[in-house]
Amino acid sequence: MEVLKELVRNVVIIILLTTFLDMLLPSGSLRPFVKVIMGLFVLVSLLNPLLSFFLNENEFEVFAWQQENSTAGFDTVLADSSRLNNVNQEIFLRNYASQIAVQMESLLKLVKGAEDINVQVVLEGGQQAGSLEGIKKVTVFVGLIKTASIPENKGQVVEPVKIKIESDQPSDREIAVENKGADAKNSEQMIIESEISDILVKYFALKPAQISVVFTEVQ
Amino acid sequence: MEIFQVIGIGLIGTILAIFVKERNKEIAVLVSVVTGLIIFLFALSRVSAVINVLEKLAFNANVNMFYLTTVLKIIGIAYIAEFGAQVSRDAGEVSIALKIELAAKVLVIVLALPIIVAILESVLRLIP
Repeated sequence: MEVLKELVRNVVIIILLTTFLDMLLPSGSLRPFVKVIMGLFVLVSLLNPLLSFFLNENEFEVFAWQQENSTAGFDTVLADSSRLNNVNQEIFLRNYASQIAVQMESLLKLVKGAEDINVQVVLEGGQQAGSLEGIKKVTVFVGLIKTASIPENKGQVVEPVKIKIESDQPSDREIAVENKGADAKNSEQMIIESEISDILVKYFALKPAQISVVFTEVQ
Repeated sequence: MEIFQVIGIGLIGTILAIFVKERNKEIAVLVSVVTGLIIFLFALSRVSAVINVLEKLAFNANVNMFYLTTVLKIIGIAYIAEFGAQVSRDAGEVSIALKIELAAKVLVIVLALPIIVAILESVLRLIP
């Protein structure tokens, strides 16, 4: 639009200019000659900007003019592209996280004592769709086997033994024995947790701080 | 008022030429030539203001100043040639006046050649 406005303005000024020049012309036999030359001058002045317009010599102006009209559409396309990019990235991260979780579950089945393993992986994606910066957090839900659930044909289950010692405070002794059983259980969980952590650190290049293990009891 | 000065010079020159013409024709021609020259120079001194305005207009319209200068030169040639031809006619030398006009036309065409070439090139660029 700016280009056309400038063209029209220039044409008006050129016509005014030649009108003034025409008034200056002598009124003798040379007048028609000079008038022809002035006509040529007007033609040149009009043709030059038109030629540069049609032969794209003024590319910058033309593109600026076109871009001004198409800015709104371009912004909409960019917004749609960004939205689609985000959706694609979410789908990609979800699928990839589930695949990694399956791989981790398969690996962690090797850990002794961990019966039911469920892994949740949180990935850290990049700005572009399909880009991955790494694993953000891994949560491993480990189902521990209850001792009561051991089958009878495997052998006789040893019941927890309470040893009563004659003393002034018998209840303290009983508690001490029971606490020993709880410590054993915690140490077993710590062993499993360290094994899980080692495997994940080794195979997935994770930092131990990224791994959290949650124990649940399985019947 | 400058126009009164011009008219005064013109009238004085005319009256002088009429009086002198009866006694000496050559002096009468000289008187008319000098009078015409004075008026012509007086007018030319005012033309510079007009040319300045035209140049400003051309600059605003992004017109190539070479073309405007050429057109102004052509107008100047036309004026001077007209003046010379009229003086020759006043002196009774019509053939010399015609020769002056012919020379002026040739010079005008020579000066206009760049403009004609520019138009031809533009047209050829439009029609490859």
